[in-house]
Amino acid sequence: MRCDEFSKNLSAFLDNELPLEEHKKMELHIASCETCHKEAEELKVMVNIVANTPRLEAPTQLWEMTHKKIIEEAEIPKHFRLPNWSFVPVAAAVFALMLFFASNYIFFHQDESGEIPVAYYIQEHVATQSEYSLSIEPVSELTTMTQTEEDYTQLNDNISELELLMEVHYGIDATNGS
Amino acid sequence: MINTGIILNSSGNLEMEDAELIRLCQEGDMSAFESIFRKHQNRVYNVTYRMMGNQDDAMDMTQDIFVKAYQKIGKFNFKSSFSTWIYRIAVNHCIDELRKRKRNGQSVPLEEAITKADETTPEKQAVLNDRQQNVWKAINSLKDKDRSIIILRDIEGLSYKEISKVMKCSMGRVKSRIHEARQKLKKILEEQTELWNEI
Repeated sequence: MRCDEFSKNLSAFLDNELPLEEHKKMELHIASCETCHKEAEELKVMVNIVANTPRLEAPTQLWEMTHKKIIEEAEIPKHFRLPNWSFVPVAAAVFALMLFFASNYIFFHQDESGEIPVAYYIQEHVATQSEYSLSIEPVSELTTMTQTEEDYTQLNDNISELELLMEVHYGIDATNGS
Repeated sequence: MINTGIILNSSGNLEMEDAELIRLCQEGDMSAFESIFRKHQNRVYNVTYRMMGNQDDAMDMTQDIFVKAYQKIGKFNFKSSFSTWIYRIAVNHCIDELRKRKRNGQSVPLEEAITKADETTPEKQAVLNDRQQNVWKAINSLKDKDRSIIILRDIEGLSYKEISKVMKCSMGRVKSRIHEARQKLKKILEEQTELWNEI
């Protein structure tokens, strides 16, 4: 037997957990190898010290306390018990992913029937709001405000950009409404 | 010989075997559960004390472990002994709790080791106390899984077969894990102190 093999089986040897044949081989090796004999003695001393650590008696009131807890737990209906919090971050991540994919689908998917996606409606709504906002200015402000030519040019530029976007992304000619 | 399911305990009182008590527990008999509790409370308390490092936590953990055992006793299938089953719940519960505390940045207070006075002279007793303090600190500085296997084998005295049932792993794995854990413990002790002094 080699020393590394002896060392690997040393704990099981000291615990009498080796098959008889292997146990005998270990005994033969220990009798002939001083280093392994020393290693075995040291480990044996340590195991004995650990095994002799004092044992404690459970406190006398432990049953009463445990019994009380059992009764309390039994009284709480299952659906009122707190969930296992370790699953909360996982559930939140799954929910966030589902929400992300669902919103992507709803906003950008154009189905076979040619239904206009929600993104288009939103952009159209924004465009009409921009036009509408000019006409619903409070009268008092309209009287004090003067629409300059520059204001109208800027508004027209914004609408042109939106039309271009709709045409490029969705193939919709916003000026004709088709 | 007919097995009545009843044996005599150390004080000579009639005491039922675990299997019989568990059957009664499964029928909702709380006094049977109390008997089981009283038979096994010291084992569980000692394991939790060594795993957690202080008596306050050991008391809380022991209660939680038996509450869990009570809730699950209906599923006990008699394939293993009650002690193996309760050891498994105890070790897993302690490892889970320690992991949870580490994740939350909570520290686990480590008490002074409890020593026993059995030496003839005060000098020898002092040396013994020192050794036990060092061993206690060394055990508590091991990783949770290494500590649990040292507790089950060297303090609780379970066989390799019993440990394999508690840990749900093969005998070969138990053998190597015990050896690895003892080597780590020996290394820590050698670094800490001159353990091998004769008293």
